[in-house]
Amino acid sequence: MKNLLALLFIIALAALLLYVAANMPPMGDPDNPTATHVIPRYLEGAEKETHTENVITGIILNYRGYDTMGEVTVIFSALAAVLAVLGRERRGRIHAYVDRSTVPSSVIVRTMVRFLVPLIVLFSVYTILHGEISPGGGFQGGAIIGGSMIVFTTIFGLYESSRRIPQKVRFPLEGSAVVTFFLVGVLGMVGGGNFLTYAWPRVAAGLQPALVTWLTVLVEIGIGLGGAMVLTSILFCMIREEEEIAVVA
Amino acid sequence: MGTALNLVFIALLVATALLAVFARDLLAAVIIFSVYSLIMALMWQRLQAPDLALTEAAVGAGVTTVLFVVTIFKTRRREEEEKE
Amino acid sequence: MAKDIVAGVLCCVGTFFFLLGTTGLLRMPDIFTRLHPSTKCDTLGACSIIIGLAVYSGWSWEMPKLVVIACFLLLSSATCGHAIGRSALRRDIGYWRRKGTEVEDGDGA
Repeated sequence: MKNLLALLFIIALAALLLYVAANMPPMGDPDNPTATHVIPRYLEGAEKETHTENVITGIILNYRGYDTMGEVTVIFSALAAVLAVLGRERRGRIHAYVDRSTVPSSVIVRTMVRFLVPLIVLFSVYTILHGEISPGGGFQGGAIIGGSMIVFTTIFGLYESSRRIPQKVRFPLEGSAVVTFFLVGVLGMVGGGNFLTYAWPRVAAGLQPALVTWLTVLVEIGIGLGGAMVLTSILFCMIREEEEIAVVA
Repeated sequence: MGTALNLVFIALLVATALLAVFARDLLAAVIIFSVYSLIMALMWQRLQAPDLALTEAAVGAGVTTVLFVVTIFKTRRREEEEKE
Repeated sequence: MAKDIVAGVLCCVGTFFFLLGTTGLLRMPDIFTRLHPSTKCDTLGACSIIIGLAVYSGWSWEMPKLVVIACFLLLSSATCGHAIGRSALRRDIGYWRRKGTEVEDGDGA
């Protein structure tokens, strides 16, 4: 009975959504309500107002910088909460199942990982730094670095990879996303504009395009580094094993 | 042609979502969910949102899958049978 | 014109090998025989599709990127297949036998 009610509710909801979707203006129609107000301004002004070739990055980091800053703060607070729940690892006691697996990884796999992981990190650096002129950016690049750390940890074990990126490196860098964003915002005030002004009024007009580009890249780097470090920390905290946890469970 | 491809993608999305919910084997559910993320990334690319496609492919299909697998590894693989 | 034909043929070959690989993955009885067709998917199938796309894109900046992706796929999927096969072997996952000739090792899962 309960299941039947739920099914009926879902069918009604699906019918309603499909009805609404059928009445939506067609995608890509220039007469869409979304395409008549702010979008033309963004598309026409992004090139000369934000000095970023990728309009998406221009919108996210410049036009809607406040939104993105709030978003980054929320995401990294959530990640910090996850880390607080999992608990940080203690120095010298870190080990995981992958470290004492009955099947040690072979020479072929080790060589390939040692060869490929730097290339993956290189690609993620490209993604972060090119976020300003091509698709990509801090979030994506950070996630790719996290993925490369997952590969490395799976093959070489938690001990090796936590020695490569020790906690005293990760811990200060985890907040770099929010810190960099706020710092760039405050620097905009120091430069004579409002909070999060990239084109500082006190700087000569000829230098402003380069300044805007470099500040955008700086924010991307901060977000990428923070994301990568937080993902790595979460991975390490999730796979590490400690005796206390085993006793409680 | 484009519409047909979109319909195929949407059908696959619905199928993978349902399979991921109903799979008894949680490891299979996680793998199906990563397939779902991959199809979603293709959909984003078709909707001309390459930034989102990159994010979905890296986070959805890459990182979260591994984190789910680690979680399954630490708990149980099978969903508990319903007790009558 | 010739470019389009070569690209189309390469893509068709790639799709054909994907079909074969998927059929084999579903049809084969145990992990080692399944590994055999499924690694063909990545190496031969995906690589010929990517090389077909590289031919189709002609002399542009897309071509070297596609070639790099193909190299990455070749290296990583071959390594993956090796790792899966090796760990299955080391963990004594039993292999398939014709009915009636089963040996005591493993359960043939």
